[in-house]
Amino acid sequence: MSITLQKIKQNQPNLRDILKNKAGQLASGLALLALGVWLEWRLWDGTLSYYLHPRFNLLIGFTGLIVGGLGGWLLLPKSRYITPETSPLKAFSAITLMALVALFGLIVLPRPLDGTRAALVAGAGANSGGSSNRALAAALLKQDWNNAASLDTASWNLLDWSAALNDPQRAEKLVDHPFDVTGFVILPVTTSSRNFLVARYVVVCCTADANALRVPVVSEKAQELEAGQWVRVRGTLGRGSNGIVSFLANSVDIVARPANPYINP
Amino acid sequence: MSVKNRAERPETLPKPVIKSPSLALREVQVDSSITSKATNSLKLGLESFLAVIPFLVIITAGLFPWLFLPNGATRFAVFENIFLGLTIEALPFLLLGSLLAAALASWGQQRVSRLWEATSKNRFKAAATGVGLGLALPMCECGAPSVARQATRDGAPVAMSLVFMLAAPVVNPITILVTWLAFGGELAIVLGRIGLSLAVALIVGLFLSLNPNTSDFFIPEINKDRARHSSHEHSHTEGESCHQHHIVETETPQSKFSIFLNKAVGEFMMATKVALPGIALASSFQAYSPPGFLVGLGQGALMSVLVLMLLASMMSVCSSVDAFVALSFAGIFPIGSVLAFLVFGPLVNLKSLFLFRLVLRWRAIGLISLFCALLVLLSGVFINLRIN
Repeated sequence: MSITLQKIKQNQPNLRDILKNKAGQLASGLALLALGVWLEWRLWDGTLSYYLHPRFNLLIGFTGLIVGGLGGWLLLPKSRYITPETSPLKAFSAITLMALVALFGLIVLPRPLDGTRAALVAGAGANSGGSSNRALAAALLKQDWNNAASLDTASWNLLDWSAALNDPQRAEKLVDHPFDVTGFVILPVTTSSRNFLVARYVVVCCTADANALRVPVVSEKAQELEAGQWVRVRGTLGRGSNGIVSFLANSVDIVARPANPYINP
Repeated sequence: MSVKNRAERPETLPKPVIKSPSLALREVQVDSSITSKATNSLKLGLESFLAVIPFLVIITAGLFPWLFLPNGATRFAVFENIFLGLTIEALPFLLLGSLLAAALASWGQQRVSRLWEATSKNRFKAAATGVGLGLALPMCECGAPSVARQATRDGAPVAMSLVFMLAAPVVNPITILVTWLAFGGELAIVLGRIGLSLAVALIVGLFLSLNPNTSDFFIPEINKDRARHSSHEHSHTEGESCHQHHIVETETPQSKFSIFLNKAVGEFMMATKVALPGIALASSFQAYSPPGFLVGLGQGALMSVLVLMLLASMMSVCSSVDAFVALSFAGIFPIGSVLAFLVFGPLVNLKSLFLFRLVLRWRAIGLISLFCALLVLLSGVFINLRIN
């Protein structure tokens, strides 16, 4: 025991080390706290769904608490902080990077993926594939296709409709069925006075796998709409002037962006 | 003494024909002091450069395309969203890895050190231990490197560290369960994924462990710890771990919990730092390249494997949930290509490549990536040809 105490006395840090250590402790504590606050804030205001599938909410909540707790512990005057076993520059860059990400997350207004990205590939066709394929297949399995007349199409979302319209024979069975969907507007590259696309992203895991589902709409109001605007479109399925199966809209209402802007299968 | 002084010295000092021993010694000391200062400046410069690399990568990946590509502002908004999305998704797993690594360092060090000693003489035992740990710990590719880093510092054999780091992201219980759920219990996919991942991890880990010079693989920081560990002759008091012992030597006495918290903070910050550049590159790929362009590149037995391997690396979706993404390709691509996506993605992706830096040198990372790519490519093509 006495040998250990002697060693400690010999290795007493000087004032400069103590100040450096305290500065590191304070900076690390603040960065971690900011990161924890950011995660909890996004969870609390519901904007976490702009980035991730809601199945992760609980996990992110716990992570925010633990990270914030670690930051809070570092800020306690009595917490005993050890300078990380790495060079000061490496430690400095780690703290700065974490602080910048936390600040970026806190300061930048949360924005979901919207029509602008989908518009960049508007010419790609009615539906994109990718991660939504399985969701489309699952959406199809939910319905009883032997009795198309009994299908409650008015309650379908864009995922259900996209799944159904992928097959021409199925689409044919649905002509004259009512629809009521909400999505954002994509104005086609080749502008027509009466056409636009109503779209919504499907997010299976996080926005890295987001895919936009699009269905063509024929409406007198098309020219009044702006790209990216959220609309509720109601009407019946039919054929547009170009012969493509489309939503023939009776009403197009501009609405606020839904709390969860994505479809999460 | 500065360089300027040294240059002036021949004019100010007399030039003795035969130097006295004291003067000669003084010159040697001055020379070595200058050399040491120059080395230190060079080291500091290099360290400063290395410290800003993550910032440079993130800025280059995120901001440069904004400035130079058409629709830059729009695409940057997408980059921002995906960057934050991937970061939020990775944080829980980075934290879990850090907490486990900290727990190992604080409480389990003596026990695991004995385990490493027991397995260090037989590389097959070491590899089997790596597989066992991978199966037991719920670690994706974000958390596994932190645990591998701690184990390697404590003297774990190379085969164990590498096999664990490569196998854990796929064979951990969470990933197995999610793959099972996503593919509706399709055994061919679940077992194929586990089997192929284990095969690749074991082949790569065992092959590289044949190299007797382990310092070729690990970063200098880890080599230093391993050397200190192997030449560790000082005595520990009862119940005191090695890490604690060092802290007691250099810092104030710590409670085990305090050590745990400190270690967790340090590990988490370092892991996050190395993960962020990879996340930025993956987000940049998603935001600035036309969506779906890779999928359209090829459908054949070989091209589809290559395309899905590349896609898995670029997307960098966490291995604990990537089965849902892979499922989307099940109807479009042959089974060998889907397996290649499921196996290669967790092994080598833009995020994990940077996370490997917690443990490995870039040279070793390059070698491992190459081996993994070749093995997965061959297996994927073989399965495609056989099954089809």
